[in-house]
Amino acid sequence: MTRVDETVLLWLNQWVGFLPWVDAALKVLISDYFMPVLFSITLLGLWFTGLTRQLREINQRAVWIAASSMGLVNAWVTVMNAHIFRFRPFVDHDLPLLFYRPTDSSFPANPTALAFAAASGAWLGNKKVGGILFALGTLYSAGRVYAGVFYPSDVIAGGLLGIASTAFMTMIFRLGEPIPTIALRIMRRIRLA
Amino acid sequence: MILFALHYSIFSFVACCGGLQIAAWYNHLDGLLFVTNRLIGGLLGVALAVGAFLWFFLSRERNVPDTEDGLGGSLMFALFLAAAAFATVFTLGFSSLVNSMRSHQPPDDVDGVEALRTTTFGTALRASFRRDNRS
Repeated sequence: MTRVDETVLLWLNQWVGFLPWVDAALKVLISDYFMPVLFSITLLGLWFTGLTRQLREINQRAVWIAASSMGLVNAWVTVMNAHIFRFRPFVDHDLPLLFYRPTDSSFPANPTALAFAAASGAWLGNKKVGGILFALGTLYSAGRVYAGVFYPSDVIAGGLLGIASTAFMTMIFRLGEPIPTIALRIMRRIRLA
Repeated sequence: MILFALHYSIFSFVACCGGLQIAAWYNHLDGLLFVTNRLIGGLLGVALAVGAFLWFFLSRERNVPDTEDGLGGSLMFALFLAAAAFATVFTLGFSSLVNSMRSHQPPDDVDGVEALRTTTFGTALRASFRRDNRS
């Protein structure tokens, strides 16, 4: 497993510096700020999306689940990082980096976990938007491996945790009925939903 | 770090305003637009969102850790949440002012943000309260 991990990482990372414009674009795309803000704005927009009230309500529930699963998976990763520590790839390998040197645990990848929690949450309401976010989340994750700051298994674990947190929050929202429905009704009354 | 946090807050606020304008244009929520022309409203949204990203990432190096000039995860989350909330309040208020001339009472059977297709947030909210007082 570790061997496969390293082989994929080294294969991807060997291309750093090959096309400088790709590296420049990826430096922006995989930064701490680009994708998180893009994902959050997409969720904000999805709240208002839907040509009928029923479609909009489905999207609004999906946004709630996405936002809460992002919070949940962030807590999971924080707890896991306190118990499992894996050094970043650049510690064990001499890699050209496209990113600063993070000091926290490599496993599981928190950015991927957040991206996949948002994508899977959005997918519950709108398959097209969810699909686009999944594609962007995959690019974000692969970009971080390419940049030399995560192993492939870190981002795969992060992605699975993100999806699992969405599944968990979906169940919590179903069990919590009628609270979400009442909250939506109140928000509709003040024209926010 | 304070300057970085300020830049990030401005970036988040403007990008959220742009995102809301695009959502309003796409969903025909004309009462949320900053301008009365729908097409220009949509284009303004794209310009705000794209402009915010371009300004933030091209103005200086943003790939910095929170141990130096960058922002930690929790601070980033708090600042984005504040910026998004402020952008929503600003959009609701500013669009109500801009479109106040053409706003009219929404029909009683129109609920929630659907009312923003034909009227402003301010007018729709007043109609909601009036309806609640009647019942």
